[in-house]
Amino acid sequence: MNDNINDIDNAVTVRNVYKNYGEVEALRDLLLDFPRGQLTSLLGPSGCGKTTLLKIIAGLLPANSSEILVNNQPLTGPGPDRAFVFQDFALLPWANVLRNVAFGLKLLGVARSEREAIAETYIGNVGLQGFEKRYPHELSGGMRQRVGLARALSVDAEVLLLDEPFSAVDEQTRRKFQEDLLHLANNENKTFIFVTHSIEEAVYVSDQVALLLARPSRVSEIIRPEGFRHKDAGSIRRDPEYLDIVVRIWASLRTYVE
Amino acid sequence: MSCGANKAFAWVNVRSTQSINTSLGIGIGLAIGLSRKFDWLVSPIFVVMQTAPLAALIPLLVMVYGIGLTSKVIVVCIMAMPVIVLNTSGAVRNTPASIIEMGHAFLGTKLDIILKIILPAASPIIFAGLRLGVSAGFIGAILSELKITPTGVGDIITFSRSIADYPTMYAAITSIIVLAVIFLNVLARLENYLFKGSQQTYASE
Repeated sequence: MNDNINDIDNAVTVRNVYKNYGEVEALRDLLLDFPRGQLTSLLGPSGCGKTTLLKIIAGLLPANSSEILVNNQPLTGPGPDRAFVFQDFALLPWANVLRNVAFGLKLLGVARSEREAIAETYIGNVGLQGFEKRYPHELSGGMRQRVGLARALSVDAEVLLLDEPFSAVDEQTRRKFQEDLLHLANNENKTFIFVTHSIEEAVYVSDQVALLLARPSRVSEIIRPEGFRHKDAGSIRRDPEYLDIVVRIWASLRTYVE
Repeated sequence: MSCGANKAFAWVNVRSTQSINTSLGIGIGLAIGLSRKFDWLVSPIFVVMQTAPLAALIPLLVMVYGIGLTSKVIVVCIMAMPVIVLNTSGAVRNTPASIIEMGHAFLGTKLDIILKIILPAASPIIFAGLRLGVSAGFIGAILSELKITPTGVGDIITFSRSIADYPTMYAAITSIIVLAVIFLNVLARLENYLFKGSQQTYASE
């Protein structure tokens, strides 16, 4: 399945990743490619090490051993080429929306007027105009995650790492988010790495779904839902191929879910 | 005349000791919160300081440091520092891991993370500790003036009681209370001014 790794331009390549938490072997000899400009989902049962892998790629967690290339450069730690969207939003409660979105740029040393102008743009892009002066506790869960997304977009990294970004928002907001993410992936020339435990969500938004199986985690299957990618957001959920893939993934996963 | 001068002197004394307490206390608390080793080394001292009965320690302090200013400053420190230090270290250690991780992910340096994430996140509890510490410091100041050598307000209280000049005694007691209340109010205003949004709960909760 990885015979033609040299033909495709990969934003991130992951080889030989091992990670242990004490006695527990979380990742063993993990191998996975993330093609540039595509959205790859990491899907698997809970506790299978999806988030661990994502944090290793982000440079937030050290692996026991790994060969990871980001833009063909060996990974050394967090970098300006990657931006992270957190499951629990990780917003600063004392800062308003504008300052939260601009925070990544502030840490990069961008001057105040410039970073606020950039932040304004992305606040608009994620649909939060008029909320610039609000504080996180005044926003709904979905809006908070939009702030987190705008913060990650504003540093203009090539790779966006999303750690179960929609798991803390309600079902309806989640559907809207999925449509927005699809739209974003089509319009922004970025590579998305998306961790989720929802099969439907993964199949709905991804160019490539990597199925991870639990402890020690390895990639058991890579599925590329291609037939319905060109369809509009509304009709994907009725597409026979979409439904087939969802059923197929559940068939492979169900034995691993206690 | 000398009584007034004494009183002014004691006032400055309390104030400067309080600011020493504040800055040193927050600094030490920050270090304890950030470093396990420093915690192991230093925090037992403050736990002992907090639990030791101060009135019993005063004779010991007088034996070591004499009846001068040093002993009094130490008494105020013993009263005020532990709360400030222990509160600060606790608050620093309890900074939500995810916002620190966020700081790393967006390429913050160690200093960035301390100044722009940990300190603002800890500030509500640091200020709560400061309020407690400052009030305890006032108690320490009066205690030292009563127990070590009669100076300042402590002197006025003891002396006017001994000659049954109760109006002066009550005035002295009231003035020290008013002073403490003003001090605490200024502190609360400062907190509001510095960290407007921090009283809000965490967005992720």
